[in-house]
Amino acid sequence: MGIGFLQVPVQPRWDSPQDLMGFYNYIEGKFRPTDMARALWALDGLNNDDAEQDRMMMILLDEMNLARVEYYFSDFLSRLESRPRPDDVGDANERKDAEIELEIPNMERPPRIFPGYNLLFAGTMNEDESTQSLSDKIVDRANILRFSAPRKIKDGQAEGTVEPTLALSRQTWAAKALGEDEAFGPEDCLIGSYQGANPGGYEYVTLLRGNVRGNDTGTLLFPYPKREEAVGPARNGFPVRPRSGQDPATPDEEEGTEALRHMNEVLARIQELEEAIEDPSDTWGRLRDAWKRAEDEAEPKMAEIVRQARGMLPVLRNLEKCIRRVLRRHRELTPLDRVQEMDRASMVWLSRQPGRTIAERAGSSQRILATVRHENFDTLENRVLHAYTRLAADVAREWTREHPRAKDSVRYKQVEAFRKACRVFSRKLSDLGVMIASAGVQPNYVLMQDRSYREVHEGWLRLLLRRKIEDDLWAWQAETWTDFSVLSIILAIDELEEAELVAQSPISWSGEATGERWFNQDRPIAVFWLRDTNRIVEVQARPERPGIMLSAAQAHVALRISDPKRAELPRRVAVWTPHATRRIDLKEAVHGAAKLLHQIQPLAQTEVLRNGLIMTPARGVATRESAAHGRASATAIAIGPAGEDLSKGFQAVRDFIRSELYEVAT
Amino acid sequence: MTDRKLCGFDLNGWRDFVAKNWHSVPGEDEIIGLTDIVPSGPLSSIVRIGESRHASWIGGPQADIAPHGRGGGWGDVGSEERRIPVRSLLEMQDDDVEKLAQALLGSANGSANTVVSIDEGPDGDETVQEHLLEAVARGKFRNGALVWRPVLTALFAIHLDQVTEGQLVGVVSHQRRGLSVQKLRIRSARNVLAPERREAASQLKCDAGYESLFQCARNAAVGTEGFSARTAHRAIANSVGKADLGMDCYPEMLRIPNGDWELLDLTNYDASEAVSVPSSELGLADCDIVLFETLAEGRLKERLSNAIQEVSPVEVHSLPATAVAERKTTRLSNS
Repeated sequence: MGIGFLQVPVQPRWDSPQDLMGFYNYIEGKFRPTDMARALWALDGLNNDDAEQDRMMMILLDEMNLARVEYYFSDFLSRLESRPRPDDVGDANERKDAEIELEIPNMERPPRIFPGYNLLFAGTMNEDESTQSLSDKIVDRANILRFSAPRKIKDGQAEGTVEPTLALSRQTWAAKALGEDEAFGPEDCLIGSYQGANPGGYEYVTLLRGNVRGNDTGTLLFPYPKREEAVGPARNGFPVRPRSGQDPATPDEEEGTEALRHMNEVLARIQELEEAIEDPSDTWGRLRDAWKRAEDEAEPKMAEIVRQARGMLPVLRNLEKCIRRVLRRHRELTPLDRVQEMDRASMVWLSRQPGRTIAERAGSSQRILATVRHENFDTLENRVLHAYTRLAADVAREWTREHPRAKDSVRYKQVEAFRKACRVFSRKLSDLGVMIASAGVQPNYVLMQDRSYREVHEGWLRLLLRRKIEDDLWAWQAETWTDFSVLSIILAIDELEEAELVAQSPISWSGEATGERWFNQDRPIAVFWLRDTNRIVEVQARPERPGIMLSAAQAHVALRISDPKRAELPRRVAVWTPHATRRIDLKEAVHGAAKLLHQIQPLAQTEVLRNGLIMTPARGVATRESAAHGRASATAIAIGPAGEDLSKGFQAVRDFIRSELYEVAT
Repeated sequence: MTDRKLCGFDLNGWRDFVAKNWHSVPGEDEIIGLTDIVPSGPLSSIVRIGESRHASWIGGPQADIAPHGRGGGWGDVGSEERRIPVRSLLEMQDDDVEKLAQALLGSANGSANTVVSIDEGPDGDETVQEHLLEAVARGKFRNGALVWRPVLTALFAIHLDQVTEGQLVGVVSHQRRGLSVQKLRIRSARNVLAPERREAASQLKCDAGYESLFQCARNAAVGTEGFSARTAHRAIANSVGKADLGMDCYPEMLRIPNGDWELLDLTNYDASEAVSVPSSELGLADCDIVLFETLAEGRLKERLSNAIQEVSPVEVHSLPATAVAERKTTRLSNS
């Protein structure tokens, strides 16, 4: 299992906690720890600076009921129960009741050992005349497995060689399964893994499918919940997007707004690829120029609402002057001298009124039911117009809120002016009694043939489409982030003067996100030849056959660097693209990655994988961290989709790529 | 200046060009006005991406750099049925009009007026013409039209003020099986010069044709081992297309069937060495001006041009390879 193991044979004479942990020898003046005390100290990373980090251990109390468990283990049980929550163990005050203080007289600060969550306790017991029974207080605090005596004992012989076991880290153990009351939170990357068959009953996408030592494995990505929480798996406490047209009112909604802004900016960088591939002979150069412009947040990039602000404002001004109206007939009591038209129903009504003449039948008010025509603006085309002005105003408002640094730009002013015009027009339409069309209406003749109304209808459909996909975009932001990270890596390689694009699978752009992604591309994504260094660099994303090392590393993006002359083994660089709605702790992540790479080294057969790269959203703080563990090393880069976060983050990506390609090659 | 999107396709399968009058800048406005030329090829093709019901064909420059159909070293995508040369589509070896439409769409889409060049001779017969027009319609290119290559060449010369009214222009076109000669009289109407075509061009078969040049370059790439499963990857290398047209050729890294890499260097290959032109049969004596239209470059183009010059009564104007495509947008913008 990859867990450290200590077998402690329990003696019948044990009757105190000292038998477990050790005792102070007054004659020698030394504390004599037991093996178990040594093991606990070696794994207590909170009190022992030299402790093994992130390791698990199982302590087996063999024949534990030879002595009274309550006498030697009760103190331990009490301490274990007093442990704070895993997230709070770092607080010395919180964990003091759970710590075991070694009894060393005259020592100002005797060592304290915290039995952490990386320890598993198990015990074996028999029930016979030589053993003690367990009281309820022990039974209630443990899980008991009963085994009856086997009826047959088979002899077996070991075959083959035992492969080296990978150490199971505490982090992996903690990530194995969420407890019943546990859920993913906003600091978590919604990533899961499985062994064997695909899990059922969840909504997910598979990032990676592989095989490690004959076991099918997979890495899954779950979607972000559309509201604050969701089940299958449990997800709680996520930022909430403000309702359409509303400003954020609570801290959660403000966090949601910021997350939405970040998501839209990442998407904008991806969508620039669609325009860049219009000239396939220089796709990456054009994309790089676009991203360079995105580093300047004072100049917002083109977006659908910006186009509409420019193109639709004259259309709306024109329509405002000549909104279509119809004359609708309806019946109402009309003064006699104003009656112009009567229909059958009004004549039937008149015939039923008392009196012999019309004047008599008109009664004291001298009114009869007659058909009257009134101007009516509540037509389908105006309802669509009303829906459009409201939606456009909302989208414009969101756009200006997402670009606060661009207030002095021409585009910002255009969008702001457009928003105001839409609001005013919407109010006017409300005053005229025009209702709001719902999405999916069948266009009438006017919407199809009248030029202005047709443009409004088409603009409305484009904005509706964006709204419709926003939910999907929100749910699968992590996939968009992966695509952004892959593009960053490709741009960094393409920038190298000696880099020549050898092969690249065609990029097929979708009009909307399909399968959680905006574009489809076969594998390989891009393959470069470094002419002078004579290396082939392949950028792999979501590889179909990742190989044992990438599967074990659970990295669904990778670089593969090979020597065409085969003088060296191919090298892989694992790339992780963790995405959470809050900033990830880079130091913790990079240390974890380096450890993981170190742990999987025994699996290396036909290629080398010692280095890794983490790319995660900067959320306003673009930084870089590195860590090494043995011969393995990892780098974490926090990069953003715009402004200084993009500029600094991309420089870090550039530096990493160069270091990977050149420091090793030389 | 028009604000309509115009584009002209020179789709020939040897070296394609599309000239369009709009230019998009990622993240910015689209600009209509200046002519933008998007090349693809040499030896352009379409490739199939995706699997089963999600599969589709894509052409243009993206297909040039795609690993699809380039051999087993690329895995499943390297399978040869994933790549179809545009030449096969134009020669009707594969008559799926949807595929031909993708060859056009891979380079440009969304134009309001579209012109496609058509070769003189059997490569531009009625069947091919209907096929091309249907592909244009299928690709949703509006207001599509076919124009003879020599006519477009003459229009280019008109644009450069190289011809005047009344002149007889001899257009020598480089073609698949050799050369063709078309004579066009320049007429004027409402102060606009236009070439008048009265009859089909005369065809001159020789080993200077694109097909013959391609075979020679391919043999040079494959080498003395001959064409086999071990050398097939060399036969479909991009360098072959460049070498056969006399273009600058640089060492190219190829993936061999077992996934390893091999360098193909055709830098020293000279396509002009194996070429002979029976120029005495061109019949240019009565021409007031002679234009030479070819997709070739470098020494090959020079050699062909010199051969024509030997029998031309006047100086031969060798036009750039983009001339045919470029003239289409000008013609449209002036109409």
